[in-house]
Amino acid sequence: MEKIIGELRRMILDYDVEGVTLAAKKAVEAGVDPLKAVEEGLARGIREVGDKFGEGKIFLPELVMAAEAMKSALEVLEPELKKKKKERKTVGRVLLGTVAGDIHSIGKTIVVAMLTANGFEVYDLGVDVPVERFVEKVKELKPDLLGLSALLTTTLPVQRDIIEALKRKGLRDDLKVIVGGAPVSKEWAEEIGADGYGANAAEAVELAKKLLYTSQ
Amino acid sequence: MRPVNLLSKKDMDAIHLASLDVLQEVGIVVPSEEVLRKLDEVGAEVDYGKQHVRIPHNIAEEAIRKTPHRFSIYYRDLKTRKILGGDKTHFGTVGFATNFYDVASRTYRRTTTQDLANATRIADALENVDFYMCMGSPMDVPHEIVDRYMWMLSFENTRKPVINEAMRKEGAVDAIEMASTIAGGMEELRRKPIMIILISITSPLMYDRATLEAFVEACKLGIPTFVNSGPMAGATSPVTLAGTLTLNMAEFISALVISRSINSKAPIIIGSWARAMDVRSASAVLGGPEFALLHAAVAQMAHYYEIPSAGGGILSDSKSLDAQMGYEKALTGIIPAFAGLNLICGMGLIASENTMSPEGLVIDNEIVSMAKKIITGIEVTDETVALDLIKKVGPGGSFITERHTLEHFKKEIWIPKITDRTFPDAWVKAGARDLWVKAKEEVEKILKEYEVPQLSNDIKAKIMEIAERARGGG
Repeated sequence: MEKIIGELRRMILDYDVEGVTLAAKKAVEAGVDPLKAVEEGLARGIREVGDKFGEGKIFLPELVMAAEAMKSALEVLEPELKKKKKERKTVGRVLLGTVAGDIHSIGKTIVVAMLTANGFEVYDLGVDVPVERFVEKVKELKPDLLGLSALLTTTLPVQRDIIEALKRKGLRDDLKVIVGGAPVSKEWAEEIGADGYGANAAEAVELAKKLLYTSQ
Repeated sequence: MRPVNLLSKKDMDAIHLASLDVLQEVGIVVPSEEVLRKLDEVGAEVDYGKQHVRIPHNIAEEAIRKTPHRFSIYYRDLKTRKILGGDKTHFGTVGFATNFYDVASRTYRRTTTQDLANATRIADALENVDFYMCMGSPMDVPHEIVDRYMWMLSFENTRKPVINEAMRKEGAVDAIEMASTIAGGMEELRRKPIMIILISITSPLMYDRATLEAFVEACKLGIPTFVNSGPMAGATSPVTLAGTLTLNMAEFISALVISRSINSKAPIIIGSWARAMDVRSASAVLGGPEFALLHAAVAQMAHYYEIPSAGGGILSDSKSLDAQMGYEKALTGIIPAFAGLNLICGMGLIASENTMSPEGLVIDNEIVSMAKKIITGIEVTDETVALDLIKKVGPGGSFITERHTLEHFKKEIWIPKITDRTFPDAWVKAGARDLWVKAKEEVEKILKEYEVPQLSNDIKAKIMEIAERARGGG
């Protein structure tokens, strides 16, 4: 079992998406405890990747690939966790998406990778996400933090729509909302009632840590 | 003189064919019914539902052939002329800074209309600014009229040709109306254009609706457009520079196809801002070596196609007027110039085009002066080889008292304006001043003494009326 857990960790460190997915499937077949597989295999691997990135030893393409590998392996292992009614220990649960009408994803992809490497549990809803879907997923996943990305001045107002929809459904107070994207500013974030604004991916992570820490 | 030929003929053929394949097999997204129909008419494969277009090789090549090799642009006096295309390299400012850098206090603040007016005036005064791309996006003007204000402040504060963005069809209409007011009518403006409308493509391979509207309007009216695209290697284009170049050229060719389908007489220039993604921060790298390389390559491809070319250069990611600014601006300026890029835009802004600096503009003027000198090369004639003179002066002799030296020195030796060449002791005695201090003195002098020839009151009033028309979302 240790061997398989070691393999999971190594595949993350090698940025091997196919390799880690196969290892995850092997882990399930071998009856490895899925919580151990995630925490001692995947999470440990991604933490090492995150540390190396912080030290300037590896760079974004590597970080992003490691996060892709982790995501792929989690797709195999998370259903197992659910079956066994187990939950991973994380810094916090984050839900992210690019708002309706907008298909820009690079910034968000980098934020997802950085949050993942920093121990957050991240759900990425993708791009062009309708307001209703954000609300539905907030209800379902109960995230600690919701991140909204918009890169166009024309899609920026949707960030406000989502916050308003959360208020209407009585969900707004249960989580923190942060916004990001090129046209976003501190003033805009304040105007729409967001809890914060990240000018770049690194700032978004710092902000996430700060907001979740102070809310605990 | 074009000493930089990065790409071999084989390389250029490969990039050319790959770009054509991108257009034919990957296609572009064009969210405009009108443009889709025009493209359909010229023989492109159009999927109206997906707003997706594939352009066959021969249609693309025909559009390249139909693009004017060069065109003229005028100062607002309609007399001074610059030619875009062919063998000349011009330099210009770049836009559209929302921030202003105060060099003395080393602080940043938001750009105001006054900042923009001042910066434009300084650009008008500086002899090495050939084209004026509106340097700032003032933050004290409502969003729906900011582009109109940018055009207005530019026309009022510089005589030089103005390049700026236009928001949607109405934005283009208003900008063109301002220009035709100055030129004395649409026919006059078409014959002697004093402005170029900047159109941006979103990499990879996507147009946006608002931009297309402005593009279509400008083409219909025969007004020159500057089509810019800035794929980011590793993010919005392949991380390999050749892949980024291929994608960039495909995007430009698609713009040529679109503009030719609307008006084959409309002048057009392609402008590349292809850049790398910084692998630590994901920010756009404008001052890096990849930027220099990519724009030299674009220049080469444009000469291969015989079409006018532009792009970023004299750019820096530095937040201050420091050594980083110096080396980045110099290297991103001279390399594309050596490759013959027709218009290099970057003067006046720092921090990855985020921030305007008047003192930076003065320093850039000096960098461009030096670059212009370098690209004139070395003239080799009997007179300049000066064999007879060398014979005359002989071993151990001196050339400083020779007539030949007096007659040729101004053409051969670059005379700087603010570059320091004093001896160390003298420099210390004079206060050990950094370059930016001298640049600041120059800025203050220009703002105090230099006056831009004024537009007539009637014209100014009409332009203001056009600018204000759009207020409140008109």
